[in-house]
Formats: sequence, C-alpha cells, structure tokens
Amino acid sequence: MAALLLLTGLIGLPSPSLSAGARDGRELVVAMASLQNETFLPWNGGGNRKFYLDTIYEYLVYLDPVTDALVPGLAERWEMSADGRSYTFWIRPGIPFHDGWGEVTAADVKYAVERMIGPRSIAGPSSALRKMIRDVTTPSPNVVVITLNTPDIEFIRGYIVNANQLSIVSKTYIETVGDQKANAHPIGSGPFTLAERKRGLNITLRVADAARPHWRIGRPSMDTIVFKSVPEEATRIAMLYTGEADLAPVNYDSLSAVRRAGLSIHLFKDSWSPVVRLGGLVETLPGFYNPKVPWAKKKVRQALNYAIDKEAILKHIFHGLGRVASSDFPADEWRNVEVYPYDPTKARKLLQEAGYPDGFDITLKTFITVPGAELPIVAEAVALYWQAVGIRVNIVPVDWNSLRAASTTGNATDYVWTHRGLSFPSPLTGLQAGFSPASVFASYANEQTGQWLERIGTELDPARRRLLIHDMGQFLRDEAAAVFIVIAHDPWASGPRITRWPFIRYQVTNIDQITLSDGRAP
Amino acid sequence: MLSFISKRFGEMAVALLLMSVVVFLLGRMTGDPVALLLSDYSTPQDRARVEQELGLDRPLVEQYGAFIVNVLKGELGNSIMGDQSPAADLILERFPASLQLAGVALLISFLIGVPLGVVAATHRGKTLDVAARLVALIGQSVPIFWLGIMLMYFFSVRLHLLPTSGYGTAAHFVLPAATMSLFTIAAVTRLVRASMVDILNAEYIKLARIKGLSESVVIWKHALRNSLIPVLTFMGSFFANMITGAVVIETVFAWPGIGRLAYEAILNRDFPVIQAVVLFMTALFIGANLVVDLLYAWVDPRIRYGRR
Repeated sequence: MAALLLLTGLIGLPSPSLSAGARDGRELVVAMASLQNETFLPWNGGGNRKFYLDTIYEYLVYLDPVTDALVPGLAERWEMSADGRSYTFWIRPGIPFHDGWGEVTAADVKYAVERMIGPRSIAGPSSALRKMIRDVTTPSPNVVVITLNTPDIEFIRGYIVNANQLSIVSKTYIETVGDQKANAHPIGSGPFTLAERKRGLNITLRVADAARPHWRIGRPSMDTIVFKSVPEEATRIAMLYTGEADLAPVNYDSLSAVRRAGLSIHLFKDSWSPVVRLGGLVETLPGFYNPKVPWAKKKVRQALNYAIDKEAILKHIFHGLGRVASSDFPADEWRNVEVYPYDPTKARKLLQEAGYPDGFDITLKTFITVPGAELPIVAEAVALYWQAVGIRVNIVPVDWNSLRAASTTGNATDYVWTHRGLSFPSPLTGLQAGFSPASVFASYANEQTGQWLERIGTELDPARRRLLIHDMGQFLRDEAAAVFIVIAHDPWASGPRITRWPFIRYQVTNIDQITLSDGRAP
Repeated sequence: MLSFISKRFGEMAVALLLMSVVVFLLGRMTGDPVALLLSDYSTPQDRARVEQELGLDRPLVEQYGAFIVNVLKGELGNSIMGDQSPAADLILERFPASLQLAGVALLISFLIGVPLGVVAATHRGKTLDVAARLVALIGQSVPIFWLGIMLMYFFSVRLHLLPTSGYGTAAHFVLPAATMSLFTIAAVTRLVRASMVDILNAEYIKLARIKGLSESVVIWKHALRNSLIPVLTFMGSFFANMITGAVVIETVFAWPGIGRLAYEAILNRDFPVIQAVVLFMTALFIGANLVVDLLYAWVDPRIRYGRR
C-alpha cells in the first residue's frame, strides 16, 4: 500500500489522506445513486433533481410532513375562485433572494410560472401546466393570479406545492445574467446556495446566510450538504458503515444488513407501487392500440391479475412492508377498492372463456430504476405465477430509457413490462399521466378514461371529486387496466448522526430540515 | 519510419470514419433521447416539437452529414442532456481521472507482474512457479465487481484504513487501482513467464552463462529485455482497455472517469456524447497501438519500420 501511495504521489496527486470518514461536524453527506442531470433551473430538468434544488429554491405552498395538509410558503395565503378556474396568491413580504437580488415578488412568481410552461421547459409537469394555465397576472406587487382553462379544485396540491416543480426564481437575476449563468450559479430564497459542483461526482451546498435563521426552517442543523454520486448500492451502504455518508437510498434486499449494522431506516410510506403495464391498450392514439394481443380482452387481463399471489410477493420481496395493491399507483382514495385475490383456478377459467385454454406466449420486459431495484425480481415472481396457469413468459431485461422511447412512440404494443407507479399529492395528476387519451405516456386509455378524467377535473365539490376518483379507481381495477402488485415504501438508511428527517412521502425533499446529533442547535 | 507513421495515421482516419458510421447507426437503432426530454403528460405534438428541435426529424443521411462536417471543423457537438455542455469538454473533464487510474494500475501491474513472471520462469516447476501461476489464475478468474466490494469491505468497512469510494486524494486510488490491476498483473505474469522460459533456452543466454556472467545479470539484464517485447504489445491494449473499459470499477468506486461518462450517455441516448466518446476511445486505442509499435523498435533494434 505504501508503494501505491508513493506511486500516486509521483503522478502529481495530492498528498495521501487515509482518514476515511473524517469530516466536519456540520457537514451532511448524502450518497445518491445518481445526481440526475445536474441542472439548476426548475424548468431545465425533471423532478428527480428536487433533493438538491429544493434546498436552493422555495415554493408558494408546502405540504406538512405529518398531516399532509397545505401550509403557507412564499404565499402567506391563497384563494380559489368559486368556479375553480382562478387562484390568487398573496406573496409573503420581505423574503430575500440570495446574494442581494431583491425580495420575492409577484413578478418573480409570474416569471417562474411562465418559464415552467414555456416552450423550452422540460420539467415534469410542463406539458400539463401548458394546457391548464390560461394566463398569469400580477394585479399588485405582492399578488399573483393564475387563471386556468378548465376548473381544477386541487390545482395547488397537484402543481403548486413542494411535491412538484414550480419553485420560485428571481426574475431580475435570470434576466440580468442569462439562463446559462443562472444555471451555473442558481439564486433562490431557500436556506442553501450552490457552493461547488463537480460534474458526475458531487454537488455541495452551503448555508445561504449563516448569521440569521432562515424565515421558514430556522437555523439548519448543518452548514454544508454534500450530495455524492455513488451508483453502486453496496458502496453506498459501506459509506454509511464507515461514516463517509450520513444518508442514502437503499433497496429492500439491504434492509436486514442495514438493521444489523444499527443504522436507521426511513420509509417513504406508500410512495410507489410495482405494477405490470400492458402494451397496446391506448385506443385513442394512432399506433398505440393493438387489438391482436391476448390482453386486449378484459378477461385475460383479469386472469393475469388473479394468477398472482401478491401477498407472497409482498412478504418475500418487500419484507411485508406495504400492502397488496388494487391500483396502478398509490392513492388514499383507493384504499377500499377490492384487490384481486390469488385464485389460479379462476385465472385458468377466465383464460378458457377468453379463448386461451392452452395459455399464450408473452414477453415481459423489466428494468431497474430508483425506486424500483426490485422490479426484475418481481418480474421473475410474476412469470412463475403466470406459467403456473399456462402462460409462457419470456423475460427480457432492458433499460428504462429504451422502453420509455418505445412506449412513447407506439412501439411497445405487443409486450408487457414491469414499472413503478408513483404517489401524487393529487391523484388526478397521476391519472392524467397514465390514462389520459392524449398522453403518450398513457398505458391504458380509451373514451371512457377520457370521460372519467373530464368529470373529475371539472368537479368543484371536494367530497364528490374524491368519490369520482374512487370510482375511476374501481373502474380501472375492474377493467384490469394493469396488473397491480403491491403498494410499497421507498426505504432510505441513515447513520447515527441523523436524528430527525421530516420528509413528505411524495418526493425526496426537506433534506435541509434534517437534524444532526452533532449539528447546530435549532 | 516517417512513411510508417503516415500510413498508420491514414489507417487511423479510415478506422475513425468507419467507427463514426457504426456508432451513428447503432446509437439510433437502440432508441432516441426524445422520450427522456418529454414530461409525463406529453402529447404526440410535444414529441414532434422536441424531435424537430434536436434535428432528429431529418433523414439519417442528412444527420450523419451534419455530424461529420462538424467533426471535421473540430466540433463534436453538445450534450443534449443536463446543461448541454460541449461533448469535448465532458470528455476532457473525465479523461484525467481515467488516465490517472489506468496509469497507476498499469504501473502496479508492471512492477508486480514482471518480477512474478521472472521468478516463475526461473523456478519452473517448483513451488514458486506454481504459486505465481496460481496468483495469475486467480487474478484472471476473479470477477472484478466482487473483488472491488471485498477489498472495500476489508480495508474500508472492517479496518477503516481507506475511503470506500470517491476521487480526490491518493488514498482514493488504492482500492480501485488494486482492483483494476489484478487482472493485468495476472496477464503480465503469464506473458513474462512464457517469454522468459523460451528466452532462457536461447543460444545467446547459454553464451552469456559460458562467458561467466552472474545469473542475475543474465536474467535481469539479458533475458528480461527481450522477454518484455510481448508484454509491451499487450501493455498498449491493456492501458487503452483500462481507460475505456473501466465502467464496473468506476461504478463500484464512484470514480468520475470516461467509462461512466460513456455508460451514462448510452443510457440517456445522448447521441453527441456517445459519438464523441466512441471516436475518442477509437483514437485512443489506435494511438496506444501506434506507440507500442514504435516502442518495439526501441526495445528490439532488429525491428525497423519502412525498410524492405
């Protein structure tokens, strides 16, 4: 080893430092599987960057981590018009942007919304918001009004809160320095600023104003947050063991080892669901519908559901953490929708009635994602259950990006694939993505799903809307729009320094509100 | 010599051109990046707009023509992901980390593999030979992924001697370089042993011994130099392989090298970066082999290029 250190010295590297894990007491290190695309404007990337963006930027409205209720953010209050088409937000006065770029005003909010729905925006909700928002006006410096094309009484939960991507930027700053510089040095009003970025390696954030408590979260427990790119799960866990990292996402497979090591586990409860999506069931888009596949028949789709022992999958793959699913993605409205029980006899009968007494051949594609490292093993289990009722399964491992490209161009109509449904603060958002007749990401869509979405979207009474969502869930369940497996949690592990993390279940956020045992007192 | 080098550069240009066609077509056969740039509620119209913006709606021949023209102008294009940095910048940013790691690993391989091979050859059939061959066998059989995790477990998790992963200090090199070099140590050991066994039976070695030269001078001065020729041949390929094929090691040890850049670009269907990285790797391979050919002449004076 000494020779190796000598050699590395000879090729001009810094002097050796062998103290693994030795760090500053007020530094939080998070080992992530990926830093995603490492862009820093709300509209130039997806929501998977929120773990670092949400420490820099803030939202008009937040979700309470405990009650899931709406709580004021940059908007100190808000109001919906009686017709559900117009939302007025009163902007909290005196909230400064970093580096002296003024205070947050209605003009900044208008600018942020317009950039989010602008033609170059590739943010997750940009397409939906583009269709929804008619205009944004600022009747006074601290009042902003967003008017929608159609009513949506859950517009705030669906698109404005911190579970989504509409964070507020400084209009003056971006217009002064341009997008490129604003991306390299983002200015927000959040508790942290970008201190350093080493592409593909780490992102370091430093507390924006060490002298004063932040208006929303007070004094952060840490001075610095370092997000490290560590693609390999075993390495992330090793870093937790050695103290080189404080927090990391982990797989279900690692939970026992994590527990044995005395590390803490944080579960994002009901945050995702493994599901088998069925290609060729979008009747409303040309080229996306394939009536020739066996699962174009409802009885076959139901048989595919009855054939699987989902309790066993829950117990053995997901360690019993979760519940059997009756829906494509998690939503409280569907808790009492009946699950498909494990009934291979009924599955065989349905196949016979559908004209497939000897079963059929099916290709099941699978891939790994985060969360979703368990999808390939779920595919193996599903294949075994299907084979037991006569369906011959060919499992094909792929990468998600290839599948995504195929499924959005109508080239995934003759096979099925494992996927994950994610949790949304407003289930309508998820329903629109998965079942809208116009969406290229839809996995099951027809005239009926379009009508359901129309009814839910325009319903102004919250109770009736919840009922409609429940009924649409029941409809999708009865139609067997997918093969529902389980509602799962997203597990994370942390070292002994982390004593509190008030996260919301929908996204990896609120990392700036973590409390460190050796950190600064609040 | 000059004509030899010119000829090799000509061959390099042809190889790069052919490789550009292959990577251009293969990349597009495996999908496109448009879906990755679309939000979850996108319509076919949104898709068409993004395709147009990226120029992916144009005929393939036209896309390839534009790519080659830009390459000839020295522009490898910009990444279509992230902050759309120039592909060349991304390569230059990652290349030093790969070069350093491969350099250290190669040096370790040479420093350990050559003496091990010599010892094995000079103790042919004895315990030391068997031990060296066993090391070589293990080195070429152990899966790199497993070895990396095991080294991390012992030296980082159990002994707390080294960082598990990352890049920045000399300590960060130890585990990935050790993992990377094991296969090459094994290969070098076998090559040196085989070569030495032949050379030790050569007439000029017998003559050196008859002249009364000490055994150590015979082995380390006269025999070793010639036995290194086949090693040199492979060292060029090993080095290029270490730089371009280190995806597993770079993933396990979170090393920000060019292998991971290529892997990420492929996953994201980031065509400009894929094309740039592949062309760069091709040039690197050809360049490394050219250097090896030139080194031949230096090591073995009997070899002269460009003469008939």
